[in-house]
Amino acid sequence: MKILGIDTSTRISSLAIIENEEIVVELNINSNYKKTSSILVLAIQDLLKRVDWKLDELDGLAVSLGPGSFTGLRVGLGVVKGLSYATSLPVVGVNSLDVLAYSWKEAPFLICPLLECKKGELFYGVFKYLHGLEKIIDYKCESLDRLLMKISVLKEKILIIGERIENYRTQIEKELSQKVILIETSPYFPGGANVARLGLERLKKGEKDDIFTMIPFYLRKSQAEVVWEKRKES
Amino acid sequence: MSELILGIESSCDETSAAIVEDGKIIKSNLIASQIKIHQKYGGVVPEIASRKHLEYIIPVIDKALKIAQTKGKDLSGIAVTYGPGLIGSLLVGLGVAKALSYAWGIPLVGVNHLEAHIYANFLENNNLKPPFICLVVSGGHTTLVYVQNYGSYKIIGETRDDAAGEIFDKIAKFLNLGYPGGPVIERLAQEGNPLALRFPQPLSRAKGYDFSFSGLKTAVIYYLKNKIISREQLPPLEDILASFQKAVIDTLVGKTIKAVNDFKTEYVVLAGGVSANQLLRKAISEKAKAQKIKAFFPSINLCTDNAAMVAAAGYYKLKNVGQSSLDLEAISRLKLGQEN
Repeated sequence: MKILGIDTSTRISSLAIIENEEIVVELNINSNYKKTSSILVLAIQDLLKRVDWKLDELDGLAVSLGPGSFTGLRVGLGVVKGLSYATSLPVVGVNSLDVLAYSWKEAPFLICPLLECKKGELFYGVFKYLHGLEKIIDYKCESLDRLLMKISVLKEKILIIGERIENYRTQIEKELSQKVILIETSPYFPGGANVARLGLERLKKGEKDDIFTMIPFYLRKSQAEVVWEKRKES
Repeated sequence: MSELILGIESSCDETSAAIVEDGKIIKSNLIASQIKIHQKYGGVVPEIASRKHLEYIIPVIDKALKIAQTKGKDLSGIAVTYGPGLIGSLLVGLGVAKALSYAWGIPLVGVNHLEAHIYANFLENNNLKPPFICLVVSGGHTTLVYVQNYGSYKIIGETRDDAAGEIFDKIAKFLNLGYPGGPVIERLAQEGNPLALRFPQPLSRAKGYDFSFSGLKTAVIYYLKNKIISREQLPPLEDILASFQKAVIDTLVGKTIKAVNDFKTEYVVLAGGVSANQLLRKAISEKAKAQKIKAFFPSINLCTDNAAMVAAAGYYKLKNVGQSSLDLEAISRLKLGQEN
């Protein structure tokens, strides 16, 4: 099966086409240099041209639903919705933290992927990979302090990976030096190929999402809603 | 053969899709409004608007195509608003439009939202031809445009601070009248005396065609605050609102008619959400009649943001300028006449 995977949850926009598990073609673009919104559709066109495939020769579209950059997620899902509406290709959404954890699945540790959120908070979850991804701590959006508190009680060694992890290194090592392994090297963003692989798993199970109702996995309300709810409570 | 354009609009808080034939005949024009969602915040919350656009966009496009009994591949073009507007909102419509354009192999054309508002008038009036003066007035814009020819615009005046529709919203918010402010203030003002109070009309005597409404807003709010603090009896709310509305409309009409006279055009045109205001329409019509020129405004459902006007503008732009590239960027502060 040929799957196009798209991840726009971080500043690295990543697209890949896989056939079965194999990468056919892959492209990563840093949005600090080229805005995701402006190049995404051209990049998809370019990717297909490189392997002389037509869009409707694909068997499905996999898209990372987040958590991550709100605008990035909307651009990715908006484009995928449009492509699927025009071609009737099935769409499967996957969680960006799952994808990041999946890319380190060979590691014999707990895996804690981090993605940056606004307001000094981090998106994270803690996973274990045995026969599939198993969630030890559910997806959260919290401060580094709370994250460290939560993982400090876990008994196993833990691998922490993610975007700009160097910013958190000092504090993490100070509090949890014995049990963490920090990874700054690639892959530190979810990546289109693994989005496609996790999407393929869902497709094989006969699952697909409905583009008429599908929304990103924001994990965080808009600031206006947060303020509104606080005011209502007090 | 007739040409069908799919229009897509998502620049603020309405998600809209439309099918327009030959730039003139509206086959469908669907609008999913978010007004109710933003009401409790007293104005549009950009992040919430963007989220809702992504939820509504496919159902709205699907319905527009079905009502028009059109298939994607029968289209001659996809017209989409790429600015001005809220960046996060624009990106949703633009992303979907590009994907459809690429997947169906149909030309994309990016449309300026203000130009689309002007085209709402061409949709309904075969007699309207450039050159003319158009006042585009809404919650986000107050712009006087000299339309020299199709696709050729000169901005001659703009608001230096708040848009006219925006101060209706802000006064309504201050008085707890709800959002949007325009319709509720217009309704209440009908019962009031517009000559009861005199509010300032900033820049109304100044040279040029620029507007300024922030001073008027402050004057009304200070007036209300002072009365409340000094526990003086307030005049009826209806009188206050009628007087406020009169100040806005007098300013708008004054500058617009001045432009018509200076540029010696035969037509004067209104566009945008605030042009649904009956008193504004009446005032412009009367002034136009007195000067023996013709006034045009869109029917009420084409005053608010809608995709039919985008499709109409896109139809002509495709013919005259050509299609846009798939790397078209959304431009939040896009100016009229700024080419892409």
